[in-house]
Amino acid sequence: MRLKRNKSKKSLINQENLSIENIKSQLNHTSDLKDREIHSNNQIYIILYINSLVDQEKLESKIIKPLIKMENNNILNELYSQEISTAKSNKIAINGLLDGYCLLIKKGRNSEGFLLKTNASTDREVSEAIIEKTILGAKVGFVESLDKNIFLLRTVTKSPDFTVKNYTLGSSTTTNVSLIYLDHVTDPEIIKKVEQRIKSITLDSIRSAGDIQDCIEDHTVTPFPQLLLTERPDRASANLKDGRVALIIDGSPTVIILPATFMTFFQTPDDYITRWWLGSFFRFIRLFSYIIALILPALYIAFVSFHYEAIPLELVYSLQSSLSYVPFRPFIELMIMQLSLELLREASIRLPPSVATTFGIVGGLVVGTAMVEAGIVSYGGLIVVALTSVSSFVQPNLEMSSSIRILGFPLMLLAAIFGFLGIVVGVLFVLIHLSRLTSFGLPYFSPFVPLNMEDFKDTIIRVPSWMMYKHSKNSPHYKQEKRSRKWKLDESEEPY
Amino acid sequence: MRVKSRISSVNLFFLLVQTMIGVGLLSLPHQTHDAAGSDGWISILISGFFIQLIVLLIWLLCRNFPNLTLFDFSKVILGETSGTILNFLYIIYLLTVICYIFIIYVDTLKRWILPETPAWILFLIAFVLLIYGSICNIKNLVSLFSLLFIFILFLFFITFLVYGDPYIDVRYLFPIGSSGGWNILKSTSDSMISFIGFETLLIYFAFIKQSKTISALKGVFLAVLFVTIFLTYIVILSTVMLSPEEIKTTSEPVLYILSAMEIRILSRLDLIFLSFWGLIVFTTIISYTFSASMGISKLIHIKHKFAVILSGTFVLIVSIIFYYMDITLLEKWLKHLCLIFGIIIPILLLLITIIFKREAASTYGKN
Repeated sequence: MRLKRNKSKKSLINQENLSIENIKSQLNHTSDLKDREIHSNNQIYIILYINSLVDQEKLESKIIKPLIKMENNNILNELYSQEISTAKSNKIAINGLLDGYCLLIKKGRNSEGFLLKTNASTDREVSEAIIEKTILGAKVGFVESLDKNIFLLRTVTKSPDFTVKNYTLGSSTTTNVSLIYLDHVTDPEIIKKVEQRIKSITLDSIRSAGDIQDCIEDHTVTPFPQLLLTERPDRASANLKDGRVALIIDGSPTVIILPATFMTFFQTPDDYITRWWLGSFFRFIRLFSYIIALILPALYIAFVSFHYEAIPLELVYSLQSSLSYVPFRPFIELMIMQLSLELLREASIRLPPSVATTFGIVGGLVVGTAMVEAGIVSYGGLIVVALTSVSSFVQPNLEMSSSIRILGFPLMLLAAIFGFLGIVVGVLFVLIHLSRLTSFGLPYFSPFVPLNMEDFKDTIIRVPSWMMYKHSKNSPHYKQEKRSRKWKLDESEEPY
Repeated sequence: MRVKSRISSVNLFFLLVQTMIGVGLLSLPHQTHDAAGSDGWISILISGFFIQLIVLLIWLLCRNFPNLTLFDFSKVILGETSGTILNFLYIIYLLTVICYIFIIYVDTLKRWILPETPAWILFLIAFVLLIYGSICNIKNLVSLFSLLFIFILFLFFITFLVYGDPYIDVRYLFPIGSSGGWNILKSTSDSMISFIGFETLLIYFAFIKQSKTISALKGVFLAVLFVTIFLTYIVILSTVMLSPEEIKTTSEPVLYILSAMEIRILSRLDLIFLSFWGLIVFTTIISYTFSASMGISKLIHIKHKFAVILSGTFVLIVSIIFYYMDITLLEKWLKHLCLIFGIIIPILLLLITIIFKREAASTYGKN
């Protein structure tokens, strides 16, 4: 909820020239803004800093101590700070102070000051990725610090092409955002588009990756996510190497990867670590489960309430034996089940893991069985809903699996009204929609639409890495990888 | 006005295949059997060959006016007034085709899947899909059609399941040519209606990248070839599967065959076939609506969006009227109309272009 805001604007007196009084009044004389005067070498220096953002140790040993012992007047040679920049206006000085720098001003010459890096870091240690688990992949996950995240990305992407561009977003509270890409690999058109869209963000404040996502995605009225959110450096790095762009937001452990196409959401790092047979199999299973999760409830409704003659006779008998006790129509029955499943899912997310197990047993097993025995739902319906939810859990990406939930209900409704035809109409709607989506100008449903055989190498199946192509033709390594397996020719023995 | 988007020859292949394969697929074996007996497939092959020639003529016509659609170059050829009249007639023709497809579509669905649903609801669904599908640009159209091309292949695969049937009898095809050469030739005019869709080339040729070179024609030729083979296959399949008496009494032989099939998990294959067929028919509807709306928006200078809504509403009303009046009426008209608008008028336009040396206006004729 937003509270009422103080709308009165501060008068920016004398914004151009650096003056301590102005800075203090613009920071509202906040109590943790400290200053200290140092007399050294017949000069008076004033150090201004925000106490809570500054590492005291660093400030004392690297700035104050050398300053006091200083012999000549050349400040830049005497101080141990790793980063020194001149601050010529109040605005720059204030931004620096808010980033944890301290401002050094020579008294008497108010127009010039130096910003010295003394910021404290209370970053969390790098830890394991929690949501996107892998079996064999790297275990590291991103953290909340921008610098550390860039460090994590750089260590797995060693390349002179690695380019970072910084942006400061937000008008009332500022957030640092870094745009990262591999030059020569990424399409310059995409970089241009991303830059343009980021620059046009004029939000008051950036709360999370979601705010940026809302502002820069191509289509807002769609259940399909067009940006990939990840917490894994290896995944982000692999995408950078594929010619995508990463956006890191300070304070958020979630990194935005763009442009993401439909198939991007079905790739996991594990696909590339395991042998390609297995990787392809996983891919196929994921796509298959996506389709199952989307249309299985609708198919069940259509078959049970419209086209029972289409399923084998034995199945009709067994379905009917449990259906005949249920007082609701199949659609209502499935809706009850789906809704209670959503409840379970939503409830279990925020429970501590120890309780969640018990909760799963009580919620899933006990309630499920009791519901069937009480005659509220049938066994068929229970199986369908359970299969659907299991299939939706197979999706490696949270946002993509929630698109199933959004699309599943309308499909069920259509199936309940028009039977099989309803499903066809619904699927056609989805396909028309998918074929029109773009992600930063790229077709969203990419290898299928427009049909591109080359891109199929990394979609439904994953071909061995030496057969894979490089995404960008500008890349100097384009199509070099086939040579990786040239040794096979040299080693092969003649049959006779 | 010149069109701005460009599509490739491959894209044109998808556009044309999806426009041509459509509603006629189900009843085709029945119709050809009426006219040519067991030699229906020969008449399909002949008309397929004939269509290739027509397509060539249409290309010869369109290459004189690069990046201009029929609605633009008709005015260049015939002059402002008669060109506008011709455009109007073509729009009416295209809308009539959509109405025809609507009626057959709803009729088939009603008889095979939803016998108790009132027809107007089905019309309404089709209307909504038509509006949603047609408000787009040509690139979207191409991408949708290439995506749905997979379902045409699915239709192909479903028919493979039929071969387990013990009642297949190749002898139904023999003796080849028993109906007599003249009868077969005569029946080609009847089977021509299952090829309608090629006349949209008058519009789609404008979008192709290099319309002057022969490579523009490659996709079109392949498309017509594909459709010919597909339809021939369907006709041969039905002839082999059903005895002549059965074909005479069943109006949708393909569905009839499939409904008798039973595989382990599914007792009604025709349901699957019909759903995929439903997707394919929609591409035809969308393609025609796109063309017709383009004409309307050029004729009365409104946005494409409103033109689609206008043509959709027209189709909805007219098809409902015809559905309750007389289902077969439109089909009878279309048999003649498609000859006039698909073959005779393009040839006449070509002749006028050659004789009177009409060319696109010099402002865009040179490049």
